[in-house]
Amino acid sequence: MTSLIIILVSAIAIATLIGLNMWLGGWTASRIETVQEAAARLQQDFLSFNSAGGIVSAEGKAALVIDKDSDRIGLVLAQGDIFVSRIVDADSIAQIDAADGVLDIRFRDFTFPRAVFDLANPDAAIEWRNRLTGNPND
Amino acid sequence: MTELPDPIQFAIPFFIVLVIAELIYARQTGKAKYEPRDSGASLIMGLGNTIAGIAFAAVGALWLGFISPFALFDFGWAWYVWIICFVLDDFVYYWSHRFAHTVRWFWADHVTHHSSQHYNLTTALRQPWFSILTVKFIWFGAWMILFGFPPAMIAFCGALNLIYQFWIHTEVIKRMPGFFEAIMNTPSHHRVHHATNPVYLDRNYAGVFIIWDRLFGTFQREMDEEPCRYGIVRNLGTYNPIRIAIHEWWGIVTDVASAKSIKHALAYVFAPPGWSPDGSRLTSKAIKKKAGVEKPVNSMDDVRPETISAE
Repeated sequence: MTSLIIILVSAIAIATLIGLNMWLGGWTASRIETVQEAAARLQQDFLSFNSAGGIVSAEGKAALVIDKDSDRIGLVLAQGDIFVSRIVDADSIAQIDAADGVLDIRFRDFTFPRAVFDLANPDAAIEWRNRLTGNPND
Repeated sequence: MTELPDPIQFAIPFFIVLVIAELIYARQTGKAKYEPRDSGASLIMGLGNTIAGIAFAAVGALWLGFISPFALFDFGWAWYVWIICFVLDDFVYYWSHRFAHTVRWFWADHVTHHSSQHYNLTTALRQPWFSILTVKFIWFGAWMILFGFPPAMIAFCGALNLIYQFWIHTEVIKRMPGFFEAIMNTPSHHRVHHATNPVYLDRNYAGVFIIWDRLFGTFQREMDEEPCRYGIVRNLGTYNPIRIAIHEWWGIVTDVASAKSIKHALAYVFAPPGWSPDGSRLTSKAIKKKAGVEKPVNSMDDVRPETISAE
């Protein structure tokens, strides 16, 4: 019985704390401004990553960057007030769609399930889809 | 067997009050960061850990009952036995914690606690749900009982150890006074432990007393010129508590299933986190080597600048 009370009181306290955090605010949504900024983050996370160009989504929520030395493609995602990055290859992708300038990638990694890029450019979305799936000439 | 109250139950209200205080302080000063989905995930992980503890308590009790008769001595309940018990329990904690970072089987459990990119008091409560799978109560929980300390005393000291570690999960306190920083684990020391900067990886395993790290060569001081970046080497893109709790366990399962030999399968379970047969992933040791920071450093000026970061 005591355990049940502890669990119930804790659950109420958690809901209250989350509500208080939402109400107080105090955090700023992260945003990627430039390809260089995304490349710097990839360099930090993967120790060697030199940008050979890339693309940032229209709303600054995601970026794709090509590594000059290895042709790897790095992805940086703005999430909450933080960033999460991955090296992306064809094997890591479960499904990828490019329609109306939006690149929608679903990953096999369940800790990093999805990234959506509003590129506002249908050709760019298709180009990056092909590059990510390893079929650059499709 | 003597029973003592669980001090953690009494500490929970203080945890809540301190989280609220830090939340408000964070809002007022910007000296701490709180994001609702992250703090929500941490708090739910804490609740899940409590539920798991209740659910699996019988397993631990059975183990205690089994090994207690084999104790070499009976140290009794004198005040000085309490002090020795607390210090020795912290020594066992240091090694248990060190193995939790260097053996993937234990890391699969402990990674939960490190999986937030934030460092605030809710991070302290982000705890694993499947610790039972590590069977660490056998590997690390038996020594002091077999030596002769009363099991209830060890459990009580262990709980006090965990309560102590709550307050050090904060960015609000920069440094404690020098003598305190020299002996005790502090927010500054523990920030280093939670950081993924190569120079900070696999450092400061202490629970209460930082002296163990100083003794065993794993101490790294926090450097102002190298701000801590929190989280894990491969940060999570999810706030889903279930995914957070199982992700490394699932990683072990898929790696073992893909192993080409028994040796590789065993290494996927027992080698350091990040091990892979072809070296395509990096262990902490490999990351530190790549960054030129294999040994603890006093200043980033001592490190080859080109190896640190692109910033």
